[in-house]
Amino acid sequence: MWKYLGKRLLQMFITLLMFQAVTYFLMDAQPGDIADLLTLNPDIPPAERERIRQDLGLDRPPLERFLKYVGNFYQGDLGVSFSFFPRPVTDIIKERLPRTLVLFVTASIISFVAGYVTGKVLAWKRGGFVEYSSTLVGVILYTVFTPWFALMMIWLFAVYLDWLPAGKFLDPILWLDAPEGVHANDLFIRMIMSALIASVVMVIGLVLTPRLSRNLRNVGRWASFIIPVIGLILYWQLVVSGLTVFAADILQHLILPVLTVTLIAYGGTMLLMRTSMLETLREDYILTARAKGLPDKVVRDKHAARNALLPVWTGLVFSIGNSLSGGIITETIFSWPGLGLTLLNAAQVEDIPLAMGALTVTGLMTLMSHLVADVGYAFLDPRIRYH
Amino acid sequence: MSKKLFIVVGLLVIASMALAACTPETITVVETVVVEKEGETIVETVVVEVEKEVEAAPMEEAAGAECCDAYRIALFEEPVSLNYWNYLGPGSSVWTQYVVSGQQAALFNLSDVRFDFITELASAIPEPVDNGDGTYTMTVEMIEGATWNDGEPITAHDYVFTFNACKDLKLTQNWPNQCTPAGLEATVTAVDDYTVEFVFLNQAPSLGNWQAGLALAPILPEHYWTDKAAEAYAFLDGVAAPEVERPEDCEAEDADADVCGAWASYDEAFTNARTTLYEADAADAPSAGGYTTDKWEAGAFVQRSAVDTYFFKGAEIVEFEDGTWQLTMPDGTVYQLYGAGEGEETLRYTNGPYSPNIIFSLYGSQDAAFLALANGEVDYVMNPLGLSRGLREQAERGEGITTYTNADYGMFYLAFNMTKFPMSEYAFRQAFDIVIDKEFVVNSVLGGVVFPMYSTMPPGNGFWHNPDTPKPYVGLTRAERVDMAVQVLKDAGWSWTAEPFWDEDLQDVVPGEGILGADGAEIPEMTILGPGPAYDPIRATFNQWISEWGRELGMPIQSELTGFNTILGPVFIDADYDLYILGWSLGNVAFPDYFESFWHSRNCTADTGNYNTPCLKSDEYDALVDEFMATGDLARAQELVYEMQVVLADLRPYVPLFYKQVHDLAHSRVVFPYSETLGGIEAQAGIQTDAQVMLSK
Repeated sequence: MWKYLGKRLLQMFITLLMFQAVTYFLMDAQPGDIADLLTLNPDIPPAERERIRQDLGLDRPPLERFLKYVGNFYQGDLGVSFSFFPRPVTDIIKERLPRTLVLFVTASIISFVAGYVTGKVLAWKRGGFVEYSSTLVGVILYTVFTPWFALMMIWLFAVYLDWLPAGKFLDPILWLDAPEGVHANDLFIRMIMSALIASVVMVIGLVLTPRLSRNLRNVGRWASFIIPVIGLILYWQLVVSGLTVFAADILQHLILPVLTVTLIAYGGTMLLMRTSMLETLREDYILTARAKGLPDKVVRDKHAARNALLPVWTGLVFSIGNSLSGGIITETIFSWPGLGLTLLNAAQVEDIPLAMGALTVTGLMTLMSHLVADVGYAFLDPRIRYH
Repeated sequence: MSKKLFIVVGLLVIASMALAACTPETITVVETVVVEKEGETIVETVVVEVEKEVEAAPMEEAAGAECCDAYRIALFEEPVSLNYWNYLGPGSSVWTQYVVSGQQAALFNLSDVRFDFITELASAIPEPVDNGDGTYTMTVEMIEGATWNDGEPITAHDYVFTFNACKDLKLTQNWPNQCTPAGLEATVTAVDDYTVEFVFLNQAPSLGNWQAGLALAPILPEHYWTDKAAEAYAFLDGVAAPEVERPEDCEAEDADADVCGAWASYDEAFTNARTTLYEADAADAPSAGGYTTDKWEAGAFVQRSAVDTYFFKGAEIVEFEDGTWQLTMPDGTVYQLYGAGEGEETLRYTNGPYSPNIIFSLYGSQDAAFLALANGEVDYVMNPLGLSRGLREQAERGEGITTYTNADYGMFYLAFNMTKFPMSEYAFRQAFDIVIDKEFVVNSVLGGVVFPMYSTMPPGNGFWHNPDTPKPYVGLTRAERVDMAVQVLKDAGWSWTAEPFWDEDLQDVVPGEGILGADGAEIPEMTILGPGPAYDPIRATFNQWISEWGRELGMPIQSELTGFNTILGPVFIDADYDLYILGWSLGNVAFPDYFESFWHSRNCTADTGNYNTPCLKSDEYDALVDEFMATGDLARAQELVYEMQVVLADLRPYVPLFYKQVHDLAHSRVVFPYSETLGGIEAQAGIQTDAQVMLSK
């Protein structure tokens, strides 16, 4: 396994390097550069264009610039953004990547769980009205034009019902009263960390519960949910009580984009799970399980659903990996200041370091997701072993 | 099943009808329109009633409502930084401009609405003194008592510090125009705390180097920046320019490595010095204006809060019909220029700041920002990108939205590459000018969304626009245009194997064939570069019509609709194009120095990389521009600009095509001190200090 992992990591490194080379030269091959855009003002003499090129390093040949970029990249220096000059790209990515990840990881996980459960049940109870209507809803959500759907969600929940904010990250008027030194990004990171710790506790609880005696198992399951939730409440009410209102504001702004992305992702996951499950139910081992007289629930959940899960798992991991590129539309419509929106703006103004930074993160996440998917297979399907 | 389907469809139809019926219908549109009337241009304000009842204009409502709430402005891109050095340097962005506007001080300024040259921290407009040795001295007395918001006085030393930093560190991009405008060499010294002395070493003071240059330059606080500037200056310790002249090409094989190395070190020292200043954190930089930036939540909002000690707070500004500009300070001191204050008042307001806070909310796109306006989340959208009719109408459906329409200070044009045949031929350019039926494209094709343009100065800039610029082809029929263009080309020696003509039976032009230039010269294939319909449908439409009319004359010409970045290289860098269609935003309203940048022979793009993209080389025109740039007499400058418009209309390096109007949308609870202004409210950064946002609205 370790040998396999090492080989894969080496492959990943080479792939990433090739990916960086291709994207860098493609970006660089665009006509003009940012210095042309910055100096498109008749009051600025052409000598200034050269001085800006010099200041930004654009006066050097592309190959030299690429080699320097790659050299710096692997030392952790992603350069300075041209369009946010002189802000380091690393700073911008650190600020915006968590926002994109939270939006898409949350949506992916919710849609995965919901899609898995409903797809499984629908395939099992095939032929009824519920299955037909649910499949229709799934197809609509899967094929819907994302910008239109997002705008409809805004119209319904923000304009017509006025339940949720139309977009953005927070409410500026509320944040005028934020305590000195409290920044939205720091608070957001704190929210992520507390949610992450609670989730880890929850998962550990759920993993350990089956080892308990039959009498304690139910208590253990409930405790796995209740303890982290109470912990979260206590932390936000007692430890950082003054910030709860601001955290709630960010959370409120998160609901609509997460709901939209979740619904869009849910359609595909549910349909995939249903189809995969239907295929699995035709397998001989399902017939054998039934013939053995096993209860329906056991056949469905342990024999069929677990095997049907593999393609859905792949879909989940890849969707997280590709969240950045998918985020461009969603983040633009919901004014969610994540990395997708940043990539779009950087590419438009030929901010090569920032665009390269965002694209490299996308590449890394995609490569990582492939690795996670492969490793995850080994756990989900005992027949798969890596040598 | 089909019955259910009918019920569902029926319900959907009823729901859509109900929705349509519930759509808000009240819109107030305040428009500044340019009216061409018997050769005279009038700019007037009208209230246009759209669809249903018209709401009261916001200025009328101000009296009954209580002031003041936060002024919430939507931006759809993030500012780059709060560092003013960086803002005028490589971090230059219009979004930063909105957020930092007004925080710097200046000796002089341009007046509201009329853009007259007026005093700000200077107590009077000085007269130049001829020193008799080719140099001139200008002494500016400053008003005492003005302070930065941290309480430190604004002094002559601040001006000198800013000027010297700009010059010594060779600051880039927009900075050279602040310390070496139009190639001026000058020294600036602080005679005392409130007296600045300028010595013009190589030029006499003129409108170009003084009124549009040093006089308007920003002043930054020395006490705040001195340490940070010292770090930048440290890179220049012991650095001197190499004695040997800079080689033209250090990449060349025969380049002297030592000399190139010496120059590279010299350049690097300045790059490091500049970057140090541009990089400096300026989150708490003092402001001289009505607002100072307090908080910036990246990706979310920027907060500016009112400065109670703002020096001009409570000052009253009045402009009169006779051209007088008058400022009355709260202590009763009056500063008055350009007249005796006679006739009707054309403008009167009291300086703010009024709103305790200005909140710039950041949105992901233009659509999201206008949705927020319609939804009441913001009071005004800062929109530098133009506004499509669909999006405007959608936003106007929001409750209490007012549209302000003003003339734009911009020009959209067709340019010829005069270094290439046949664009270098006068007859060729004239023939194109004749066949381009601007009125047809604007009125019949585009439905009047833009206005045909005939002069190289937009009519909205009334002082400089020459209403008598010739427009001989207005009103010609298609047949007359073709006949006239053919005649012009024939007179110049052009010929066809089959001449183009207007066919009365077909009611169309029969295109010419086998066209040859004078002396039988073959006409090469030509393209008209221009932005595609996704970027600008208006320019794309013009492009296609113009190439079609060119082909009717028998010219081998095609439209090439492409990305904006793709046009930049061939036009502005390589100067390798045939014809192109683009637009300019024209910058300084008070001093149109673009007449020099765009058409003076010394700025030919092919020779120098400057902005004379057609490469017009006319001694007559150059002489006019040179005099214009050197004169200090405003009346003479106006005469010269009038003449230049006539000369350009004849030489035709550009054929002006159209100009636009700008639409500013704001909530009616915002009361602007004025709304008629060239370029619109956005060009004034939303008139932040003097806008009032009514609480009761």
